[in-house]
Formats: sequence, C-alpha cells, structure tokens
Amino acid sequence: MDNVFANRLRKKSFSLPEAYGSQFAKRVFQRKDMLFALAALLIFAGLALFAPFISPYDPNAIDLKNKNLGPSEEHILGTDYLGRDLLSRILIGARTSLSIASGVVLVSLFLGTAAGCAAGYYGGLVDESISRVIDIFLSFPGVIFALTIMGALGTGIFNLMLALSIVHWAKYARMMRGQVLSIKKQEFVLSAITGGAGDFYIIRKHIVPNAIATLLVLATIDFGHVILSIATLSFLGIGLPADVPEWGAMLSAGKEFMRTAPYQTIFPGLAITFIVIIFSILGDGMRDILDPNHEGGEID
Amino acid sequence: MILTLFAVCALTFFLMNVIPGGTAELVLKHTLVGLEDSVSKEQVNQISSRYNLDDPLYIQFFRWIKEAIVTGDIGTSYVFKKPVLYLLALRLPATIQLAGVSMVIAILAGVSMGIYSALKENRISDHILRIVTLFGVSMPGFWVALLLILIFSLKLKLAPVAGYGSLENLFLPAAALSLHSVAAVMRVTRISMLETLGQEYIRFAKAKGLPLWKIVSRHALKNAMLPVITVIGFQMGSLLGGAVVIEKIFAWPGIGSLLVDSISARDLPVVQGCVLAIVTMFLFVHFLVDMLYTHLDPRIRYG
Amino acid sequence: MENKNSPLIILLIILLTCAILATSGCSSPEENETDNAVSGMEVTSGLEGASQPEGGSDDNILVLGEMWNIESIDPVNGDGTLICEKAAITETLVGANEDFSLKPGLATSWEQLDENTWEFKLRNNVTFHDGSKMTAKEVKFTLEKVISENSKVASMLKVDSIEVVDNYTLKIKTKEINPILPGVLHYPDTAIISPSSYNEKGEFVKPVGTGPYKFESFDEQTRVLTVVKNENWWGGEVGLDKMILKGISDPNTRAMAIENGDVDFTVDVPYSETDRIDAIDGISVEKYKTPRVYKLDLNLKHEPLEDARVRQAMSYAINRSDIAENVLYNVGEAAAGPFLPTMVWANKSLKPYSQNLEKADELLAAAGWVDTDGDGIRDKDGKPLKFNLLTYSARPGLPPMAEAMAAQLREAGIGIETEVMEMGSIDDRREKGDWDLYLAAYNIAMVPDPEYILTNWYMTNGTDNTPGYSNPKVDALITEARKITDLKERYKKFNEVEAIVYDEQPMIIVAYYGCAIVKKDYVKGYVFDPTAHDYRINADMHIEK
Repeated sequence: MDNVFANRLRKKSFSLPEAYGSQFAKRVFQRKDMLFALAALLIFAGLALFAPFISPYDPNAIDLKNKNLGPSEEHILGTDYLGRDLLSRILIGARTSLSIASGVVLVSLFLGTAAGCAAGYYGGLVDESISRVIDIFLSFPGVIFALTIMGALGTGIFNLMLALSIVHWAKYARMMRGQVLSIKKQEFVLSAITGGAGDFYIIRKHIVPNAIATLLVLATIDFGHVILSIATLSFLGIGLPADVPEWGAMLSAGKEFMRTAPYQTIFPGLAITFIVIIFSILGDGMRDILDPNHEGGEID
Repeated sequence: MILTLFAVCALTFFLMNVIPGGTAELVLKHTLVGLEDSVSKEQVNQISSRYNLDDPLYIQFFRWIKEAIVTGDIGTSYVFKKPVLYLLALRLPATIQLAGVSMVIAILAGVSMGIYSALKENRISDHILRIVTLFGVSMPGFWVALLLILIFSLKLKLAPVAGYGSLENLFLPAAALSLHSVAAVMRVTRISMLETLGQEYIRFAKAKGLPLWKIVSRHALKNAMLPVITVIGFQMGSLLGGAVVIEKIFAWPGIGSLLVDSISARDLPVVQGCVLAIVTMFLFVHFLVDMLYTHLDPRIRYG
Repeated sequence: MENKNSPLIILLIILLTCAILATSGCSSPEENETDNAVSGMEVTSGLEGASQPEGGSDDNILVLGEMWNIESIDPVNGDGTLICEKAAITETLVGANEDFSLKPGLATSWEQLDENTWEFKLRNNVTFHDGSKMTAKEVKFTLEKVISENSKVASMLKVDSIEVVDNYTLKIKTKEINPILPGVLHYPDTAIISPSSYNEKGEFVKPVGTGPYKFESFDEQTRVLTVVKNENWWGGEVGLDKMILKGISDPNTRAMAIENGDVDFTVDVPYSETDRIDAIDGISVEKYKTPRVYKLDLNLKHEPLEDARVRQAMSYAINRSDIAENVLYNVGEAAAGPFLPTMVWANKSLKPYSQNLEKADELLAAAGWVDTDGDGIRDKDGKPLKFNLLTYSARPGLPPMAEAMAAQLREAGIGIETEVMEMGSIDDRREKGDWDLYLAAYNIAMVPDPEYILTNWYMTNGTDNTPGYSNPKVDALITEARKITDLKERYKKFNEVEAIVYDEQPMIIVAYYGCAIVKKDYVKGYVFDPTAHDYRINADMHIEK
C-alpha cells in the first residue's frame, strides 16, 4: 500500500523549468483567470491589512437597539445579532481568517518540508520511522482528527492553529518525501554528493529549491481547505467562540438568524467562498503552468 | 495496517487525556448532576474507581488494548452505560448508508458531469458546470446543508427537515454531503477525459467513424478512470469528516454525531471506538482503491 | 465533434444514477432490520417508529420534537425527566402547584413523625401499565433502586431505611434531619416504576409506570420513542391516542421541523425566531419562565471584588431589561433574587437592580476606583479595574449575554474580557482560582424548596458557592431554618437570607431563564407547568382539527 502511495507521488514530481521566475510570471500573465484571482487576493489582503483604518465602526462595539439590521446607509452590510457592524467585522475577520490560515499553512509547510527532507534524503531507518508517522497522521480523516485535538485542547485561536497544523503537516511531508526521492536521483545532486558537499548544503542548495514549487501548489490549494476547516470546527462549537471576529465563527454564530436576518450568514459565507475560490484558481493555475501534463486532482 | 490502528488508538487515548477538566467530573455532569452544578468529591471518587480512572494512563491504555485483543471488548460507555461495540453497531449503519449513498452520487454525478463537460469543452454548458463545481468545493458544508433545508424543505416542501429511517429522509443529507465530492470528482474527470480524448487512438477511432458514445464508453472512459479512482479514495476522508457536520444538522443517528457528543462529555471509550471505526473504514476504502488501481493500471505492481 | 449523441448519454447516466440511488436507499432499511435482530436489542425493535406517519396526521396522534437526542429510556438512571415529564409514562409521589408548593401525587399525604422519620400515605386506586396494583412494596422497590443507582438523588434523599407499614403506608427514615425529602420526591428520577421494568437478571427492559401514557416502543436506531394512551389511568380521561417523541438537538432544526409540519409540538426554537414563527398561520409560540436563572458569579477572593460596593456598582451597570429584550428576545425576564417571584417562598419585596450609571459611578468612586489616566477604564493605585468573564456555549443565550454585559460594564468604566470555553476548561480555571467573573445558567428548583439552593449557593463552603462567599449571619439563618417544620416560619428565615445576598451581591442574578413552547394550533389543552425541569406533557392535551 505504501508503495502505491509512493508510486503515485513519484509520478507527480515535476522539475522546474529553466529561467524559472520570468517564465512563470509570463505564463501567469497569459491566464486571465489567474490574473483575476491574483487581483482579488491582493484586494482581500489589502483590506485585511488596512482593516483598522478603513472599517467604519469598531467591530466589537455592541449596540443592542440596532441589532439584526439589513444593509443600509449607516451600515453598508447591516448589523449582527448584537448590533455590531457587519462590514467592520468582515474586514477585521479577513485579518483573523487569513492570518490563522497563513499560520497553519506556513507551520505545516515548514514541518512537512523538514520531515519529508529527512525521510527522503537519509532513507533507511529514518525514512522508515518518519513514513510510519506520516501514515498514521494521514489515516485520520482531517476533520475528525482536528475535532479530536480541539476536543482535547479547547477553543481558541492558538489552539485552533496548533490543531490544524498537526492535521495538515503530514500531507506536505509525504509530498516532500516523494519529491526528494526523485530529485535525489538526478545528475546534479549525485555530482554534488560525489563532490563531497555536506548534507545540509545539498538539501538547502539543491533539494529544497527544486521541490518547493510543488509544495507551494499544495500550500495554495490547502489555504482554502484550512479556511473551510475553521468554519466547520466553529460550527461544531469547538473552533472559535462566536465573539471572535472570524468568518467561520461569524457564519456559525449567524446560523440561528438565517431566517430573520440572513445577511449575517450570507456575507461571511460569501467571503469564505470567494477566498477559497481564489486560492483554488491560483493553485490550479500554478499546477497547470508548472506541470502541463499532470493528471490532476490528486492534491485535492 | 494493524500497527497504524494501534498507533491511532494510542494517539486518541493520550490526546483525550491531556485535557483540562477531570474525566470523571465531566462524565458526571453530563449524566447525572446537570451541566452547571458542582460535583461532590465522593461522586467523583465513585466514578473514578468504577472505571479505574485513577490508574496511570499507560496502565489504563494497556488494559484497554488487552481487553480489546483478548475479549474483543472495547469498553463500556460512561454516559450510555452500554458496550461501545453495541453503540457502534447501532450507529454505524446510518453513517455507512449516508456516506455510501453520497459516494455513489459523487461517482455517478461527478463522472457523468465530468464527461459531459469534457465533451463540451469551452462551450457555455462546460463553463457553467465548472463555475458551479468551483462553488461546490468552496462553500462551507454546513452552510450548504442549511440552504438546502431552506429551499427543499421549507420553500418547496419536497423533503422532511430532519430524521432518519425512510428514503425521503436520506435525500437532503446525502445531497449536502456529496456536493463537495461531486465537484471534486467532476473536475478530475473532466481534466482526465480531455487528456484521453486528445490521444492518438481516440482520434483514430473518431476518424473511423465510430459513434461518440461508443468511443467514450469503450475506450476513453477506462483510460480516464485512473486519476478519478484516486480522487475517490481521497474523497472518502472528506465524506467521513463532512458526515460529522451533516449528521448534526439533520439529526442523523450516525457515528459522527456520536463522536462529537462523546468528545464534549469526555466519554472516552466511545470516542476511542468511533475514531477506530472511522479510521478503519477510511483505510479500508484506501485499500480498495489501491487494489482497483493496481488492477486497472498494469504498470503498478506491489513490491 | 458529434454532439447529437451526447445528450442521450447524459440522460442514460442520470437515469442509471437514479436507479442505483433508489435501490441503495431501499435496501438499507432491510439491513437495519437484520441488524436490530442480530444485536439483540432488549427493547421492542421498532421499525414502526420509522414508518410512522409524519406530523399533521388526522388521528389523535402528537409528534413531539424533543430538545435532546433520545439515547436511552432508563428512568432511574438519568432519563427521569424524559420518561416522567415529557413521555408521561411515570409519575412521582409528590406533585407541585404552579407556585412550587407541594401537592399530592401518587402519595396522598405525608407527615414528619419525628426529626428523621417520615410517613407517606399512598393512593389506593393506582395500577401499573402491566395491570398490577401499585402498593408500598413497589414504591420501596423504586426508591431503593434509585438510591443505589443514582448518586445525586441518593445524596439529596439521605435515606437510611424504608419500611412498608401496610399496603398503602410507607415509613422513610433519614440519616439526618432532611426537610426537603418530600420536595426531592417530586424530582422525576424518583418516579415510581413497577419491578416488571426489569427482567429476571435485573436488567432494565422498559419503563412500566402508572402515568397517562404507556410505553409502546423505542427504536434505538432512529431514536424515536412511542407511547400510547393508558385507558385505565387513575387520573381519568387521557387526551391523545398516541405520542411520538423524536429527539432533535439543534434549535434551528426544531424550528424548521415544526414549520415544515414534521412535528406538532416542540420547545426552544432559537429565541430570535420566536416572533417570526408565532406570526405563521397555524403555529403559536408561548413564552414562559422556567426555574433556572442566568447568574454571574464574582470571585470574591480577588481584591476589587471583595468590596461589596464594587459588586453593587456592577449590578447597577448592567441593563437587565435590555438584555432580556434584545439578547433573550423576551424568552426570560430581568431578575432580582435567585427565586422566581411566583414561587411561594420567594422574597417578593426584591426588585431587579435597574441600570443606574450615576449610582454605579458613586459607589465605585467611594471605593476608590476612578479613571485617572483617561483611558475609559477606572483605576486605583495604578491598577486598572479589569476582569475576565468566563462562560460556555452549551446554552445559546450565554455567549451573547456575556458580550452584551461586557459592553454595559465597559460603559461604567470596568474593563471586561469575555472568554467562551469548554466546560472542562472552565472547571479547571475555577479550581485554580484563575477567574474573575463566571456567567452560567443554574437550575433553582431541582427540588421545590429554597433550602437546597440557598445552602449550596450562599452557605460558607456550599457545594455551588463558587464566589467563596461567607457571611456568618447567612449561615446562622439557614441552619436555623433547617430545623423549622412550619413552612411560613421557615420561609421567613429564607426571605431574610435573600434580602442579605440581594444587598451584598456575591452573585449577580441577571435574568430568569425562559422557555418557548411552540405548537400547532390544533394541539389543544396544553397547560404549562413551571415546576417541570424542561416542560411537561399533560394528560389533557389532545388534537382537535
């Protein structure tokens, strides 16, 4: 079974084209959907970055008299069940959502790269034991695993990041290991090894730069998954508490008001949907460019 | 696989024990005393000694493993006071039914839409399908489920809101649960189909004047199926995970909702049993997928 | 490309999908059936539950959307509320009036013979659903069963021995003086069951009680409990032919289920939905108070909260009626003391603190807390007046209430940081003393008597005295009252206690917990019972179309 996993992975490795940077950028510019997604992402990121300056209200200011309002001149997107301004909360929420997701993706990427490198590069017992651990972590369906961990840790931003990182890193490690295995066999690595270069040097100079593109594709697509996971866990009552301005938490807190004041679920729901769409377009696009012959889908 | 299951058990067991709050105390609050009320020391001690909760963790764990292997008994629920195996037997069919039907929908709808979309590449219907599925994979599952209830139960009166037992009860949860997988399968099928349709022998068959449906069903489909099978294996994980949420919304008496409830009640043996069952199902489907894969693709052999 | 054929293919595939779907769906109930048989369910394997007609049928059948999932039906082991109050299968020895004073139930009268001895006279015309007569023997059986299996009830009953005097007389000896004994016997877990509820091996099979409805089936798989009319009920005519109880744990789903006609009667839809649902033709929503309060515990061990003036100021800063209206949507009401004003023993002279920011300012200033650095938060000796506020989400009203209260307290210059967490984490923090404020919803009449709550909450070292409050005068009053058998005199002492804690505010009682009863208009004869623990189904309920 492990062999089949490995086989499937080996096929996925694609080496970088020469003149990597400029070529890549050129391809991106040829694709309208990616340009569009990139622009949308920049807008989202900008809004998140400047949220404190552009949001019209204090996102936590409660005004019970003006609760559950629809969009109006004063509140462009309306207010939530405690009369907090929805636009302001969505803007600040972009910060929370995006930073939690970035945190999780970065930590998983780092952990996964390190573990995958070690396993693939050194082989033998190291590989054996790391692969075993990866297998164990991958044998849980993601949400179930996160659920169990959050059940143990309790709600909160830090705990959520920790739990999701624990769940996600193994995917990266497995992919990195596959990458390293195929890169290791290539000419330039072999010559570096015979040239007497140190392990760390080879990993840093040759392996990681050549493998990272594939992992970045995974990371891009994963970004959307993390945001969806946060929403799911918040819905189950063990992600983030309802008072934290985060899209998933807002969406699940607003579900009670879906009939009477639908805007407080519609807007955060749309925000989540759009950001996930953006990342999946970017991820697909990057994969198409880096690997025109891919069979698709596996990363999902 | 046995080793993996063992490790999964150990991981769950120790995870559930790092928690703040004593197990015995929470069990009491969820069964006898009431959520907010304080629990007396004697009551805690009584529960602790009944379930040997005062022993060191590793002893508890090895006792559990020993029981499980020797007698096949994986514990008794603190909350329901029934054997975990009994509870699993009660709840598993519902989850298997839901996940199974969703899987069938995902495969049939996903593959057929994928083929259709590939055949109509870059036409309006292709674009529409692609955009729809892009939304399908990007919307939070519980949101979709609630929207489906609003539309199909309350507006159109086509299905009951929640419940379990009859066919019409299955309709909405299966639709909600399968949406994400339908979209994923469809996307993979489309790409893979396009690739296959571009191959030499298909063009040759077309030139020979074979009708399109024959080309698709006889030649293209089989070759395009490999990546689709892979993605189906991966989708099983998202189906089992998604089932937790869907079961909660539709009051579906499956293993997912049992797991969520048991986690908050610290019903450790049940949490353990549910995780074990879910992981086993997941690994089993992966195993099947791998078998199918090796069967279809002669290039891959074990060893 | 040839396109002519493709629609045909799609159509074929879709048809195939439908066919497979249909067959897979149909085959599953059969699987379930065999499953049931194999696993050897003790309870009547009820496929019937699954094929029951949905709500809104023409017959005199009520479909009830219960608020908790129905997992088990063991009346002495935690399911008493369900079996006794909601399914009306069993009944208790002691009943309660609307003002929470006790009235005869299966027992017609009771008397305290000496400090530790009680005598109960039983009704002599009661038969169990299995046809046997209810006598002192069965009552003794039930009580001993509950005491051995249910530690909570045992700790409240404090029973030493039970003696059958004659067929309809029972003598109960307690280990210590226990004036709340009759009150405890109103608790649904003590409802009387026939020994035939158990098999020869002593395993629980099904609840056999004396109530207006008889157990018919419980399907563990679909979690549907069905009860039918008891034609021989001692209390007279029973309204419904049949009642089907389905557990729906999600409030939103309950709301949608009654709107869709899946159920005829349900409770506690989301509070915000009550007005909208009430406006729907054919459905009505009734809001009641239940014996439960939202209260804010203050950690008296933390320096600023030690000062009664700070606590009073906080109580003045909170706008209770605003919270009741905007957070609870009037499912609940502003509260004064720990007891509902309708309770016979409540101190009726107490009125809820109404928001008064000037008064709060006065009190805080007198205690030395003023905002010297102009950051909006008061301070004293360089330390800001800031608290954390813990709460949990198992009760939907709590987190938004915490947020609203935090905003109101901030207005008075008190900084609040709310933290919503799991019950286990809260227990942990409370044990470590790492908390300032704790918002929770407590039951105030598990037992219809004030002693239980006042002892637990306000006595030094009381089991639920989270704030760590200690007032010798309160202790003395409660201890004195415990020995008084004359109810009027007894309640007088308790009223004094209430007045003292109203003044000192070791806990801020924010609001009374509400209950929203949602029912179809054709459900007639329902009377709300405020002494029920969630809600009670009464025998007069029937369907009239």
